[in-house]
Amino acid sequence: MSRRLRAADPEQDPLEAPELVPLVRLLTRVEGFAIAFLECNVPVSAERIASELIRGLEARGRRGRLVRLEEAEENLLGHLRGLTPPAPPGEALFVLGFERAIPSQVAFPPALTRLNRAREQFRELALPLILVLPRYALDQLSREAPDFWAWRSGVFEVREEEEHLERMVHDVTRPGPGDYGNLSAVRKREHLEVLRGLLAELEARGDGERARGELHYRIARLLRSMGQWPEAEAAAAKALELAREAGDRRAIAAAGHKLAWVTQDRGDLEAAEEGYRKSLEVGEALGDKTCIAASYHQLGMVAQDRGDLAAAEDWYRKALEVFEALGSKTGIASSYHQLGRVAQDRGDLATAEDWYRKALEIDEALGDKTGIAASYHHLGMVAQARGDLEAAEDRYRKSLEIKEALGNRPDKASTYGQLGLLAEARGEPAAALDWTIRCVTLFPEFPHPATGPGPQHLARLTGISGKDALEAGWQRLTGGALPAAVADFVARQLARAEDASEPSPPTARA
Amino acid sequence: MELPATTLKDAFNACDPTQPLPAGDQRYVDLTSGRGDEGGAVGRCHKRISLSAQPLVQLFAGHRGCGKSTELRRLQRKLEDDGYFVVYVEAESDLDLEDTEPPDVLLALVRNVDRALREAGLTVDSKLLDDFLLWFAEVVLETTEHREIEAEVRSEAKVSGGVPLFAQLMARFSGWVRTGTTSKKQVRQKLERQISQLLIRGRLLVEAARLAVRKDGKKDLVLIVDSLDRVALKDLGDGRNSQEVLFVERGELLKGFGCHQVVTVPISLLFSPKVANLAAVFPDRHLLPMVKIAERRTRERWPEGRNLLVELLAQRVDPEVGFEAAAMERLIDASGGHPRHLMTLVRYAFDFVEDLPITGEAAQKAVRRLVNDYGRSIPKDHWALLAAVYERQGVENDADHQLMLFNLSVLEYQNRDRWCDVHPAVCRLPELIEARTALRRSA
Repeated sequence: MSRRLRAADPEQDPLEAPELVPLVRLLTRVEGFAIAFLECNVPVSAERIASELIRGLEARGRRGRLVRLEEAEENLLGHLRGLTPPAPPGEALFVLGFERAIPSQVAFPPALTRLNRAREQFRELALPLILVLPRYALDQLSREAPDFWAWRSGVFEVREEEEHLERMVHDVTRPGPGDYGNLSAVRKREHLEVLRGLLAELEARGDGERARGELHYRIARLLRSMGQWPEAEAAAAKALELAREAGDRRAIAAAGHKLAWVTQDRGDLEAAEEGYRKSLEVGEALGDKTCIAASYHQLGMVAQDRGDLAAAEDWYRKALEVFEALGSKTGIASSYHQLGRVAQDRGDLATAEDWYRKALEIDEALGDKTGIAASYHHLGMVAQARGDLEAAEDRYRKSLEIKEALGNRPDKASTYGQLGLLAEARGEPAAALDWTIRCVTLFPEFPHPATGPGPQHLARLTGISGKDALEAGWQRLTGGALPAAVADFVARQLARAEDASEPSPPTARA
Repeated sequence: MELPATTLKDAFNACDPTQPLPAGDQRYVDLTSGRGDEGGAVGRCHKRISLSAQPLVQLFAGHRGCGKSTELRRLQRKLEDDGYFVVYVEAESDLDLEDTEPPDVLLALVRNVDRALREAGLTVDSKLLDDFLLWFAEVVLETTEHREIEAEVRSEAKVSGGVPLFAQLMARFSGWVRTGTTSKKQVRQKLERQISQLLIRGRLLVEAARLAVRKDGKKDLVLIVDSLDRVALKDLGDGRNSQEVLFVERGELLKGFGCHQVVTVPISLLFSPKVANLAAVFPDRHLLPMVKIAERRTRERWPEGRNLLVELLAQRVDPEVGFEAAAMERLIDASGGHPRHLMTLVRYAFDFVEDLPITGEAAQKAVRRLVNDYGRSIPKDHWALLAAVYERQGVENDADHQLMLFNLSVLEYQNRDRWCDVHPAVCRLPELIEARTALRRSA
């Protein structure tokens, strides 16, 4: 293991803290250019320690500066060259926040390829550069910017004081509203950084199964709400594994439930049902009514996904009964909403609208933005099914306004898709194609399950407007050329439709 | 700074892992005998150039940080001393190595030849340059929306006087290539359609350059292309990768330039399934292996190679003052015979001492840190494969093993026979120890 540094004691000269000595020696001996890495998993500690080091260096006649990257900075060299005032030779630069440009789910992100490519040019800065990064980002950098990494003069680790760490873990995992769906995309990303940092810190210590499980569970919830489903599934599976290791039945139920949820997202209904039933079993054994109601609710969604509307209604009504007994308004609104979807699937638009309006009323009273957006979206679908396209558009736009403010990509995808279908119903194929491109380009993967039938609609609309229109629209809306994978998918779909001698009819999104 | 260093500060700055040694640097130590039969790559490159009646393109490969640039700078000096005109191309400065295609490389070579001739005060037939320029401008500038760029270039030509328009346009192209803008893609597409023309015209220029240098009393022109081995390894999704396309599928383009070249290629390419195809295009290949520090089978210390590394350190830091004996041994053991890793380890060790010498304990801590670094960079699915490499001391010609060579978790040695071994720092990681135990159980 590398040398571990503990968070500095505020009473002590930071440069004399034994754990910091190796880094201090490096910075006071180097002349000109050098690269060092400081692993720190907790952002707030990273900033504090870097600031203390700079103060200490200055007291010893060396200069240092903190460089905070507030946004994902792909061009680190350009950023450093553009510092105001410019960094003089020899000034130690502590760079914080570069991990924002290193998303863990993206291999070889542009920031790392640029870093690797521009290695020689960093030398021109003629100063010591200390990149302060959490473990995951540092590991990724070592693999994906190997030439830059090869020039390192030191790798140092900061470990959080145990007591402080425990308090932080407790703060972020304590039961509370915790409704990640209502956080903006930026807040979600920030919260994810905190959770991952704490997790990495606990993992480095190799203890705290229960806390680690809880953090994985939170990360799974957050990632799911961000549309990063494979990562969410992996995190939920890890949470379940740790809960089992710790023998924590309540955590087993929660993690199992979340894992089932993400398997349902990717369409594995059998695995999802099994997971919910296990979760229900644990909930019943523990007398945990919230867990029971949530399991009923999700089992209803599985039944609905299978097209078994009677079973779905049954499960939703059972869930509603428990939520009412608990006085859980959020739960009640969710049940109303799902009952609305059952009625809508049956073609009973009046009943569906009734349920959605009841859900909306509660959502508005609670200020639950995700719920409000979902209700407007489905009220739009009801209006569209009735042929009232003006009302439908009005409701979709209300829904979209909230979804865009929250930045939740799976939710945005559903409304973009519906606006595409609406434009098509109005006889505006160009606008329909645009909305559909917006839908499918929300995720780097294509096709992404959260975009539902969007990719198929894209192919069908290309059949109507032509490949040139698709290429032009893609270029205009994304700034990039149409990827080969998308072009191939569209060509295959069109060939299939041609073989079947008839274009596939548009289907409404669930 | 006085060398070998006797103070800690001088010692620290003498062991910079980021700096290749310039030719003639007093710190240089000839590691040929420690690298084995293949270690005299510089000598062989030089010999083949001097013997061959036809222009020869030789490939030069070695691990990242094994001393390629230092050796190529030495080759440059040797060739120059022998009367050759050498153009040293730093691909890292001229190209976007994350996204390099054959037209970029050809134009970088043309640009560097032109620049080197001008710097040496040599000239080629101006009509040739004008022809190249007009063709290039027609292909790249006039056919599409780049008229404004042309106007800019031309107006710059009017005001900048001393720098010829050709050089300006080449510099502009180099800028497009390195900045990764939309222009780059468009220009490249246009050039790709005219690649045979580019090659013919480039060849004419190079021929003219060879005449010019001979007229100046030199034996011939030699291009040394360094850092092209750093071109990114990208899976193109159809069973091919970016390096194979550049060096194997399109390798003939490099050969078609009509002058002696020594070109660095990724070492992993020599272990790829396409190695036979590569050999068909480039029969002259040289590999710069690690310095052998241990015997192959027994893994017992091999004094001859180790002494060279002792000398390498002694040229930088006075060994009497700088190291406890055990410290130097530990650092050399953990380096795997990789010169840059040895420098990195020494730098790490400095962090654990107040003053010279580096103690055995500090060396141990430095080694621990390198081991930990490797713990970060090795993918989980490599452990079982690495265990097999450890037992077999060889690698397969597949993508995983190519990646291991690329990431330096496996090193290549040659000394009489040729073999690979897991980096000594990786061998200390518990994951590998577990994987080796599992492998033995399953055997």
